[in-house]
Amino acid sequence: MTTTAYTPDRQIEHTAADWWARLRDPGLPDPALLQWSEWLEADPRHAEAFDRASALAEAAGAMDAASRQDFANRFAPPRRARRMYPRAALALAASVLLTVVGAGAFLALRHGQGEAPRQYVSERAGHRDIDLPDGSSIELGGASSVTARYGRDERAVDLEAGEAFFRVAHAERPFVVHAGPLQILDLGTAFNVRRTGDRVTVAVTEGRVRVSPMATQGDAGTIELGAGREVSFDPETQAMRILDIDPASATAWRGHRLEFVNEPLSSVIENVNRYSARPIRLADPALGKLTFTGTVEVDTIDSWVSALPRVFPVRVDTYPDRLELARQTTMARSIPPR
Amino acid sequence: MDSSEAGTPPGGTRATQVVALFREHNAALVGFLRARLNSLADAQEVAQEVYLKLLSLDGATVIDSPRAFLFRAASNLAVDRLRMRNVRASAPADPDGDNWHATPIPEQHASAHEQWRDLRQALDELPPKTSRAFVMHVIEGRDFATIAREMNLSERMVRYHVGNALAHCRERRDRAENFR
Repeated sequence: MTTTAYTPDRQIEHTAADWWARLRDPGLPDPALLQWSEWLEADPRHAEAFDRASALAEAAGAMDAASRQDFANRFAPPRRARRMYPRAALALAASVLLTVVGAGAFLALRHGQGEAPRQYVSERAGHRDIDLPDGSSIELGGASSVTARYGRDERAVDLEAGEAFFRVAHAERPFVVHAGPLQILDLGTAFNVRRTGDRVTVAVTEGRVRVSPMATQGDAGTIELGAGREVSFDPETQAMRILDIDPASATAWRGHRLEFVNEPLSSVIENVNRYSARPIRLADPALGKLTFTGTVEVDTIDSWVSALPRVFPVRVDTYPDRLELARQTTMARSIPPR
Repeated sequence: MDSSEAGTPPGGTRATQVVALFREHNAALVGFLRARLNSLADAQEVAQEVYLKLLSLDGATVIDSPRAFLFRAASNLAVDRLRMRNVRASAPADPDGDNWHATPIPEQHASAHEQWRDLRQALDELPPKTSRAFVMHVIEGRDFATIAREMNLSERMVRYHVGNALAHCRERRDRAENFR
């Protein structure tokens, strides 16, 4: 699309960048340096690619102080900023410990006891109601999958993909949902979990839940969430965003409506695709950064897609097997960076 | 393996051999120094220092692999240069100090913001660990060992993330004209 003076070879560009990073290592052994000079001298394109990679790194390294701070804040925030409620994390750790101790020594090791794991999968655009043996129930959205692993110490459910609404029967064994980077502990509740890769949204419609990130041990920020509240985990920033919500909108999908608040377009599309007859694709991954707030009726997805160019700088290309969103070239430069 | 001597006339002096070796591998040497120092200007200067150092070698020095010797010499001089840089950087008012809240002039800030927009977008497209490693190493200038400790990764993984991020940003730049 853009006219460049050269045709960059992906492979060479990648190797050049890799060499740049390797050469940064002060402990690089002699044989690697000989390999380096052999690689560089093997083809003039290697030196050109290496120059381009080095120039980019050099420019980035010489960035003004304010911009450097911006980048650091955005991409490399100090780890401690993520610990939101250390006291709550301690409380969770304590409660887990109590459970284990209460159940008796070594029982924690015998997790396999209890019923065999059962996986439940729903079809695209389909819903599925699951009644669990303890009286709890799960309502699965389209193209979603959960596995129930009921042990004697814990009722665990893994949400592998998609969306599920949980109604938990009160019992002594804790009920825990694992959804990628998050763990949700039920505290007497009905709640909805939507998982789009590592982006997870938990919305509470009744009672309370306790949400903790699985990430780095000792760095866990646990949050307690009451009815009418929602927490979203953003895998890019590793941040948890809490919102007040209308409990009905969190489970609107049960009435065939998907509702989104400030959700990246990539995630919106992935969710819509769980219902769409023709999958929607992004021709340019950068478009996925645009954020969308609104409702998608799952029965009229095509008309939602065709209306997108009115709000976003995109055009829709229709193919027999898919709909593709491409950057509207004349407006390519006006897309705001999120 | 080392064909550097090939261009040297038979019976050439040690000095002419050194010159030939240096010339033949000059691009690799400057490239190596450029990565180490993250500055082309400094790399060219240090390459000259390497050259002078080679010329001053006496005949008694035994060199098993001339090319390895060349890079080792360059590596040592690069370390000296980085040390010098650190001394200079820490002499005036601490640049890494507590200016977190220093508010830049808004206009200036806006234009700088604009200037780095494409890089930010490119990094946005990467997994958090990849962009984090890149920003900490290339932009903040922290070494692999420090980053590895902070991110709880091996140094090798940090290096891998940095290389991937750099390749990705390069590729995005081909499509989106200029960063500067």
